[in-house]
Amino acid sequence: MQDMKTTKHRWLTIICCTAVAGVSGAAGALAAGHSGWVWFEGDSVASVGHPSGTEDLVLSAQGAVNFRAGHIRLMSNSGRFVFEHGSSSQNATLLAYFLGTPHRTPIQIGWSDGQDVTPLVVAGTKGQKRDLQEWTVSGLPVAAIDGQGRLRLGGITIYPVLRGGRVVLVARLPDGSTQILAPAGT
Amino acid sequence: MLRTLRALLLVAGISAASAFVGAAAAAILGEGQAAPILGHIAPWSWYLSGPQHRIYVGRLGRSSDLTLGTNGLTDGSDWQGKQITLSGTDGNFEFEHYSSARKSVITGAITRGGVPVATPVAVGAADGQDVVPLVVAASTTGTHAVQTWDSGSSVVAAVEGDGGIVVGGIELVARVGADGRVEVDAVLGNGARQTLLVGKPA
Repeated sequence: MQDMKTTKHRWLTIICCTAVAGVSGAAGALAAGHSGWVWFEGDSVASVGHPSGTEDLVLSAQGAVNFRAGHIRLMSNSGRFVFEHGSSSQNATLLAYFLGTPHRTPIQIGWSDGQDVTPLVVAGTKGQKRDLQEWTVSGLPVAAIDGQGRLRLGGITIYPVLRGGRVVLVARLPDGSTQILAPAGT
Repeated sequence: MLRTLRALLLVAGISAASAFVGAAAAAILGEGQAAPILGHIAPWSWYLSGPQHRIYVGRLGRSSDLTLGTNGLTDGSDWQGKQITLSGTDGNFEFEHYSSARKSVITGAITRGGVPVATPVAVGAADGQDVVPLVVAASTTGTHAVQTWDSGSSVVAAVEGDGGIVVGGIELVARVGADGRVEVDAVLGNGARQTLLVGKPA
Protein backbone atom coordinates (compact mmCIF):
# COMPACT_ATOMS: atom_id res chain seq x y z
CA MET A 1 0.00 0.00 0.00
CA GLN A 2 2.84 2.35 0.92
CA ASP A 3 4.62 1.49 -2.34
CA MET A 4 1.52 2.37 -4.36
CA LYS A 5 1.29 5.73 -2.63
CA THR A 6 4.94 6.45 -3.26
CA THR A 7 4.62 5.55 -6.95
CA LYS A 8 1.55 7.73 -7.27
CA HIS A 9 3.32 10.67 -5.68
CA ARG A 10 6.30 10.23 -7.98
CA TRP A 11 4.03 10.32 -11.02
CA LEU A 12 2.28 13.36 -9.70
CA THR A 13 5.62 15.08 -9.17
CA ILE A 14 6.76 14.21 -12.72
CA ILE A 15 3.52 15.52 -14.24
CA CYS A 16 3.69 18.63 -12.15
CA CYS A 17 7.29 19.35 -13.13
CA THR A 18 6.52 18.69 -16.78
CA ALA A 19 3.58 21.08 -16.72
CA VAL A 20 5.54 23.84 -15.01
CA ALA A 21 8.43 23.36 -17.41
CA GLY A 22 6.09 23.47 -20.37
CA VAL A 23 4.38 26.63 -19.26
CA SER A 24 7.66 28.29 -18.36
CA GLY A 25 9.12 27.29 -21.68
CA ALA A 26 6.19 28.68 -23.63
CA ALA A 27 6.28 31.94 -21.70
CA GLY A 28 10.00 32.17 -22.21
CA ALA A 29 9.66 31.55 -25.92
CA LEU A 30 7.03 34.28 -26.23
CA ALA A 31 9.13 36.78 -24.34
CA ALA A 32 12.43 35.92 -25.98
CA GLY A 33 11.57 37.39 -29.39
CA HIS A 34 11.51 41.09 -28.54
CA SER A 35 12.02 42.47 -25.09
CA GLY A 36 9.65 45.25 -24.16
CA TRP A 37 6.78 43.72 -26.13
CA VAL A 38 3.94 41.46 -25.05
CA TRP A 39 3.87 40.34 -28.67
CA PHE A 40 5.60 41.58 -31.79
CA GLU A 41 5.48 40.74 -35.49
CA GLY A 42 7.64 42.21 -38.20
CA ASP A 43 11.09 43.65 -38.31
CA SER A 44 12.93 46.89 -37.66
CA VAL A 45 11.44 48.45 -40.82
CA ALA A 46 7.76 47.65 -40.35
CA SER A 47 6.06 46.01 -37.42
CA VAL A 48 2.95 45.52 -35.36
CA GLY A 49 2.84 44.70 -31.69
CA HIS A 50 1.74 45.33 -28.13
CA PRO A 51 4.33 47.18 -26.02
CA SER A 52 4.73 45.87 -22.49
CA GLY A 53 3.15 47.95 -19.77
CA THR A 54 0.64 49.57 -22.12
CA GLU A 55 -2.82 48.86 -23.48
CA ASP A 56 -1.78 50.10 -26.91
CA LEU A 57 -1.53 48.43 -30.27
CA VAL A 58 1.36 49.98 -32.14
CA LEU A 59 1.80 49.78 -35.90
CA SER A 60 4.99 51.29 -37.14
CA ALA A 61 6.80 51.71 -40.43
CA GLN A 62 9.74 53.71 -41.67
CA GLY A 63 7.68 54.33 -44.80
CA ALA A 64 3.91 54.50 -44.99
CA VAL A 65 1.28 52.53 -43.10
CA ASN A 66 -1.30 51.42 -45.64
CA PHE A 67 -4.77 50.33 -44.58
CA ARG A 68 -6.68 48.55 -47.33
CA ALA A 69 -10.24 47.34 -46.94
CA GLY A 70 -13.70 47.56 -48.40
CA HIS A 71 -14.52 49.94 -45.58
CA ILE A 72 -12.33 51.60 -42.96
CA ARG A 73 -13.89 52.12 -39.55
CA LEU A 74 -12.01 53.80 -36.72
CA MET A 75 -13.58 53.33 -33.31
CA SER A 76 -12.37 55.36 -30.36
CA ASN A 77 -14.00 55.10 -26.94
CA SER A 78 -13.14 58.73 -26.19
CA GLY A 79 -14.12 59.97 -29.64
CA ARG A 80 -10.66 61.42 -30.09
CA PHE A 81 -8.74 60.76 -33.29
CA VAL A 82 -5.34 62.40 -33.22
CA PHE A 83 -3.22 63.10 -36.26
CA GLU A 84 0.38 63.55 -35.14
CA HIS A 85 3.12 64.62 -37.50
CA GLY A 86 6.75 65.63 -37.67
CA SER A 87 7.68 69.18 -36.75
CA SER A 88 8.84 69.82 -40.31
CA SER A 89 5.16 70.05 -41.26
CA GLN A 90 3.04 72.92 -39.99
CA ASN A 91 -0.25 71.03 -40.01
CA ALA A 92 -1.86 67.66 -40.47
CA THR A 93 -3.11 67.41 -44.04
CA LEU A 94 -6.02 65.20 -45.06
CA LEU A 95 -6.11 64.24 -48.72
CA ALA A 96 -8.37 61.96 -50.76
CA TYR A 97 -7.40 60.09 -53.92
CA PHE A 98 -8.67 57.42 -56.23
CA LEU A 99 -6.93 54.23 -55.16
CA GLY A 100 -3.38 53.94 -56.36
CA THR A 101 -3.55 57.11 -58.43
CA PRO A 102 -2.52 60.75 -57.93
CA HIS A 103 -6.07 61.76 -58.95
CA ARG A 104 -7.37 63.78 -56.04
CA THR A 105 -11.01 63.86 -54.93
CA PRO A 106 -12.98 65.89 -52.35
CA ILE A 107 -13.14 65.01 -48.69
CA GLN A 108 -16.71 65.04 -47.48
CA ILE A 109 -17.64 65.48 -43.85
CA GLY A 110 -21.00 63.92 -43.02
CA TRP A 111 -23.44 61.88 -45.02
CA SER A 112 -26.98 62.28 -46.32
CA ASP A 113 -28.40 59.42 -44.26
CA GLY A 114 -31.51 61.14 -42.96
CA GLN A 115 -30.00 61.95 -39.57
CA ASP A 116 -30.26 65.64 -38.74
CA VAL A 117 -26.94 66.44 -37.09
CA THR A 118 -24.39 69.19 -37.52
CA PRO A 119 -21.90 67.43 -39.75
CA LEU A 120 -18.88 69.58 -38.89
CA VAL A 121 -17.91 71.55 -35.82
CA VAL A 122 -14.75 73.62 -35.93
CA ALA A 123 -13.73 74.16 -32.34
CA GLY A 124 -11.40 76.87 -31.11
CA THR A 125 -10.26 77.51 -27.60
CA LYS A 126 -11.15 80.11 -24.95
CA GLY A 127 -9.66 83.44 -25.96
CA GLN A 128 -9.14 82.28 -29.51
CA LYS A 129 -7.18 84.89 -31.49
CA ARG A 130 -6.20 82.98 -34.58
CA ASP A 131 -8.73 82.23 -37.28
CA LEU A 132 -11.19 79.44 -36.63
CA GLN A 133 -11.15 78.43 -40.26
CA GLU A 134 -9.27 79.56 -43.32
CA TRP A 135 -9.78 78.93 -46.98
CA THR A 136 -6.54 79.18 -48.90
CA VAL A 137 -5.61 79.16 -52.55
CA SER A 138 -2.00 78.31 -53.31
CA GLY A 139 -1.25 78.72 -49.63
CA LEU A 140 -2.69 82.23 -49.29
CA PRO A 141 -5.89 82.80 -47.30
CA VAL A 142 -8.72 84.13 -49.48
CA ALA A 143 -11.44 83.90 -46.86
CA ALA A 144 -11.74 83.06 -43.20
CA ILE A 145 -13.85 82.94 -40.09
CA ASP A 146 -11.72 84.72 -37.54
CA GLY A 147 -11.38 83.92 -33.85
CA GLN A 148 -14.42 86.07 -33.05
CA GLY A 149 -16.58 84.35 -35.63
CA ARG A 150 -16.44 87.21 -38.12
CA LEU A 151 -16.40 86.61 -41.84
CA ARG A 152 -13.36 87.78 -43.77
CA LEU A 153 -13.60 88.03 -47.53
CA GLY A 154 -10.50 88.90 -49.49
CA GLY A 155 -8.81 90.50 -46.51
CA ILE A 156 -11.85 92.56 -45.51
CA THR A 157 -13.54 91.53 -42.28
CA ILE A 158 -17.28 92.12 -42.23
CA TYR A 159 -19.32 92.03 -39.07
CA PRO A 160 -22.56 93.49 -37.71
CA VAL A 161 -22.72 95.75 -34.69
CA LEU A 162 -25.71 97.22 -32.89
CA ARG A 163 -25.75 101.05 -32.75
CA GLY A 164 -28.72 102.84 -31.27
CA GLY A 165 -30.85 99.78 -31.65
CA ARG A 166 -29.99 99.47 -35.33
CA VAL A 167 -27.74 96.95 -36.95
CA VAL A 168 -24.79 98.42 -38.78
CA LEU A 169 -22.51 96.42 -41.00
CA VAL A 170 -18.86 97.27 -40.42
CA ALA A 171 -15.96 96.49 -42.71
CA ARG A 172 -12.46 96.32 -41.25
CA LEU A 173 -9.69 96.74 -43.79
CA PRO A 174 -6.31 95.04 -43.63
CA ASP A 175 -4.74 98.26 -42.32
CA GLY A 176 -7.11 98.19 -39.33
CA SER A 177 -9.33 101.07 -40.43
CA THR A 178 -13.08 100.58 -40.43
CA GLN A 179 -15.93 101.72 -42.65
CA ILE A 180 -19.67 101.54 -42.22
CA LEU A 181 -21.26 99.61 -45.05
CA ALA A 182 -24.34 101.22 -46.47
CA PRO A 183 -26.52 100.23 -49.40
CA ALA A 184 -25.01 101.37 -52.67
CA GLY A 185 -26.50 104.61 -53.99
CA THR A 186 -27.43 106.04 -50.59
CA MET B 1 3.86 18.99 4.38
CA LEU B 2 5.80 17.79 1.37
CA ARG B 3 2.76 16.03 0.02
CA THR B 4 0.66 19.15 0.39
CA LEU B 5 3.28 21.19 -1.44
CA ARG B 6 3.43 18.61 -4.20
CA ALA B 7 -0.34 18.60 -4.51
CA LEU B 8 -0.42 22.38 -4.77
CA LEU B 9 2.28 22.34 -7.41
CA LEU B 10 0.36 19.73 -9.31
CA VAL B 11 -2.83 21.77 -9.32
CA ALA B 12 -0.99 24.93 -10.30
CA GLY B 13 0.85 23.14 -13.06
CA ILE B 14 -2.21 21.55 -14.55
CA SER B 15 -4.16 24.81 -14.33
CA ALA B 16 -1.47 26.77 -16.06
CA ALA B 17 -0.96 24.16 -18.73
CA SER B 18 -4.68 23.94 -19.36
CA ALA B 19 -4.98 27.69 -19.59
CA PHE B 20 -2.12 27.87 -22.05
CA VAL B 21 -3.43 25.09 -24.24
CA GLY B 22 -6.91 26.58 -24.06
CA ALA B 23 -5.71 30.01 -25.04
CA ALA B 24 -3.70 28.64 -27.93
CA ALA B 25 -6.64 26.60 -29.15
CA ALA B 26 -8.95 29.58 -28.87
CA ALA B 27 -6.53 31.72 -30.81
CA ILE B 28 -6.20 29.16 -33.57
CA LEU B 29 -9.93 28.54 -33.78
CA GLY B 30 -10.54 32.27 -33.76
CA GLU B 31 -8.42 32.59 -36.88
CA GLY B 32 -10.65 30.28 -38.81
CA GLN B 33 -10.04 26.80 -37.52
CA ALA B 34 -6.43 26.81 -38.57
CA ALA B 35 -3.24 28.46 -37.39
CA PRO B 36 -2.43 31.91 -38.78
CA ILE B 37 0.16 32.02 -41.50
CA LEU B 38 3.33 33.83 -40.57
CA GLY B 39 6.54 33.90 -42.45
CA HIS B 40 8.58 35.17 -45.34
CA ILE B 41 6.24 34.59 -48.27
CA ALA B 42 7.29 36.16 -51.57
CA PRO B 43 6.90 38.98 -52.41
CA TRP B 44 6.58 39.83 -48.73
CA SER B 45 9.54 40.41 -46.42
CA TRP B 46 7.26 39.18 -43.67
CA TYR B 47 3.62 38.35 -43.72
CA LEU B 48 0.93 37.45 -41.21
CA SER B 49 -2.53 36.40 -42.26
CA GLY B 50 -5.45 34.14 -41.61
CA PRO B 51 -5.63 30.84 -43.46
CA GLN B 52 -7.86 32.28 -46.19
CA HIS B 53 -5.47 35.19 -46.83
CA ARG B 54 -8.45 37.53 -46.61
CA ILE B 55 -6.98 39.63 -43.83
CA TYR B 56 -3.28 40.27 -43.69
CA VAL B 57 -0.49 42.45 -42.37
CA GLY B 58 3.05 42.56 -43.59
CA ARG B 59 5.89 44.38 -45.30
CA LEU B 60 5.91 44.09 -49.06
CA GLY B 61 9.27 43.31 -50.60
CA ARG B 62 11.96 45.87 -49.89
CA SER B 63 9.48 48.65 -49.25
CA SER B 64 9.51 50.41 -45.91
CA ASP B 65 5.71 50.35 -45.76
CA LEU B 66 3.53 48.38 -43.38
CA THR B 67 0.42 47.17 -45.19
CA LEU B 68 -2.73 45.97 -43.49
CA GLY B 69 -5.59 44.89 -45.63
CA THR B 70 -8.54 42.78 -46.50
CA ASN B 71 -8.93 41.18 -49.89
CA GLY B 72 -12.70 41.18 -50.14
CA LEU B 73 -14.43 44.19 -51.63
CA THR B 74 -16.89 44.22 -48.78
CA ASP B 75 -14.54 43.19 -46.02
CA GLY B 76 -14.28 45.94 -43.45
CA SER B 77 -11.41 46.90 -41.25
CA ASP B 78 -12.21 48.09 -37.73
CA TRP B 79 -9.77 49.81 -35.42
CA GLN B 80 -10.85 50.27 -31.84
CA GLY B 81 -9.20 51.85 -28.85
CA LYS B 82 -9.60 54.49 -26.18
CA GLN B 83 -8.04 56.92 -28.61
CA ILE B 84 -6.83 56.48 -32.16
CA THR B 85 -3.55 58.25 -32.89
CA LEU B 86 -2.17 58.30 -36.40
CA SER B 87 1.38 59.58 -36.60
CA GLY B 88 2.88 60.53 -39.93
CA THR B 89 6.26 62.20 -40.26
CA ASP B 90 5.27 64.28 -43.29
CA GLY B 91 1.86 65.26 -41.92
CA ASN B 92 -0.04 63.82 -44.90
CA PHE B 93 -2.92 61.48 -44.14
CA GLU B 94 -4.45 60.06 -47.28
CA PHE B 95 -7.87 58.53 -47.81
CA GLU B 96 -7.87 56.56 -51.05
CA HIS B 97 -10.96 55.01 -52.56
CA TYR B 98 -12.21 53.22 -55.64
CA SER B 99 -13.13 55.36 -58.64
CA SER B 100 -16.73 54.23 -58.20
CA ALA B 101 -16.84 56.61 -55.23
CA ARG B 102 -16.49 60.29 -56.02
CA LYS B 103 -15.07 61.37 -52.69
CA SER B 104 -13.83 60.22 -49.33
CA VAL B 105 -16.44 60.52 -46.62
CA ILE B 106 -15.69 61.10 -42.95
CA THR B 107 -18.52 60.66 -40.47
CA GLY B 108 -18.89 60.46 -36.73
CA ALA B 109 -21.18 58.01 -34.97
CA ILE B 110 -21.98 56.33 -31.73
CA THR B 111 -23.72 53.00 -31.43
CA ARG B 112 -26.99 53.07 -29.54
CA GLY B 113 -28.81 49.78 -29.15
CA GLY B 114 -26.72 48.31 -31.91
CA VAL B 115 -27.72 51.12 -34.28
CA PRO B 116 -25.19 53.70 -35.48
CA VAL B 117 -26.33 57.22 -34.61
CA ALA B 118 -24.64 60.09 -36.42
CA THR B 119 -22.68 62.68 -34.42
CA PRO B 120 -20.82 65.80 -35.54
CA VAL B 121 -17.22 65.59 -36.61
CA ALA B 122 -15.30 68.19 -34.61
CA VAL B 123 -12.02 69.58 -35.84
CA GLY B 124 -9.87 71.15 -33.14
CA ALA B 125 -10.32 71.22 -29.40
CA ALA B 126 -10.68 73.82 -26.65
CA ASP B 127 -7.38 72.85 -25.09
CA GLY B 128 -6.01 76.35 -24.59
CA GLN B 129 -3.82 76.27 -27.69
CA ASP B 130 -4.48 79.17 -30.04
CA VAL B 131 -4.09 77.55 -33.46
CA VAL B 132 -6.13 77.63 -36.64
CA PRO B 133 -8.15 74.42 -36.26
CA LEU B 134 -9.09 73.99 -39.91
CA VAL B 135 -7.58 75.12 -43.18
CA VAL B 136 -9.24 74.17 -46.43
CA ALA B 137 -6.58 74.49 -49.08
CA ALA B 138 -7.00 74.69 -52.84
CA SER B 139 -4.09 74.85 -55.24
CA THR B 140 -5.46 77.08 -57.98
CA THR B 141 -8.44 79.27 -58.66
CA GLY B 142 -10.25 76.85 -60.92
CA THR B 143 -13.86 76.11 -61.56
CA HIS B 144 -14.37 74.14 -58.36
CA ALA B 145 -15.33 75.76 -55.09
CA VAL B 146 -12.86 75.59 -52.23
CA GLN B 147 -15.61 74.36 -49.93
CA THR B 148 -19.27 73.62 -50.31
CA TRP B 149 -22.08 73.08 -47.85
CA ASP B 150 -24.57 70.48 -48.98
CA SER B 151 -28.04 70.20 -47.45
CA GLY B 152 -28.29 66.59 -48.52
CA SER B 153 -29.87 67.25 -51.88
CA SER B 154 -28.07 70.31 -53.19
CA VAL B 155 -25.25 72.73 -52.54
CA VAL B 156 -26.62 75.60 -50.43
CA ALA B 157 -23.45 77.57 -49.75
CA ALA B 158 -19.86 77.68 -50.88
CA VAL B 159 -16.54 79.49 -50.67
CA GLU B 160 -15.11 80.20 -54.09
CA GLY B 161 -11.48 80.43 -55.08
CA ASP B 162 -11.67 84.22 -55.37
CA GLY B 163 -12.57 84.45 -51.70
CA GLY B 164 -16.25 85.09 -52.29
CA ILE B 165 -18.95 83.32 -50.35
CA VAL B 166 -21.97 81.92 -52.13
CA VAL B 167 -25.31 81.98 -50.35
CA GLY B 168 -28.63 81.46 -52.05
CA GLY B 169 -26.89 80.95 -55.36
CA ILE B 170 -25.37 84.46 -55.27
CA GLU B 171 -21.71 85.10 -54.61
CA LEU B 172 -20.79 87.92 -52.28
CA VAL B 173 -17.38 89.44 -52.85
CA ALA B 174 -15.68 92.19 -50.85
CA ARG B 175 -13.00 94.42 -52.27
CA VAL B 176 -11.44 97.83 -51.78
CA GLY B 177 -12.22 100.17 -54.68
CA ALA B 178 -9.84 102.66 -56.26
CA ASP B 179 -11.19 105.39 -53.99
CA GLY B 180 -10.29 103.35 -50.92
CA ARG B 181 -13.87 102.50 -50.15
CA VAL B 182 -14.99 98.99 -49.41
CA GLU B 183 -17.46 97.53 -51.86
CA VAL B 184 -19.47 94.40 -51.32
CA ASP B 185 -20.63 93.10 -54.67
CA ALA B 186 -23.11 90.42 -55.56
CA VAL B 187 -22.08 88.24 -58.49
CA LEU B 188 -25.02 86.53 -60.09
CA GLY B 189 -25.01 83.16 -61.80
CA ASN B 190 -24.74 84.82 -65.23
CA GLY B 191 -21.69 86.78 -64.15
CA ALA B 192 -23.53 90.08 -63.73
CA ARG B 193 -22.19 92.14 -60.84
CA GLN B 194 -24.16 94.44 -58.58
CA THR B 195 -22.70 96.61 -55.85
CA LEU B 196 -24.69 96.00 -52.70
CA LEU B 197 -22.82 97.89 -50.04
CA VAL B 198 -20.32 100.72 -50.02
CA GLY B 199 -18.09 101.70 -47.15
CA LYS B 200 -18.26 105.10 -45.50
CA PRO B 201 -15.95 106.47 -42.83
CA ALA B 202 -16.91 104.99 -39.49
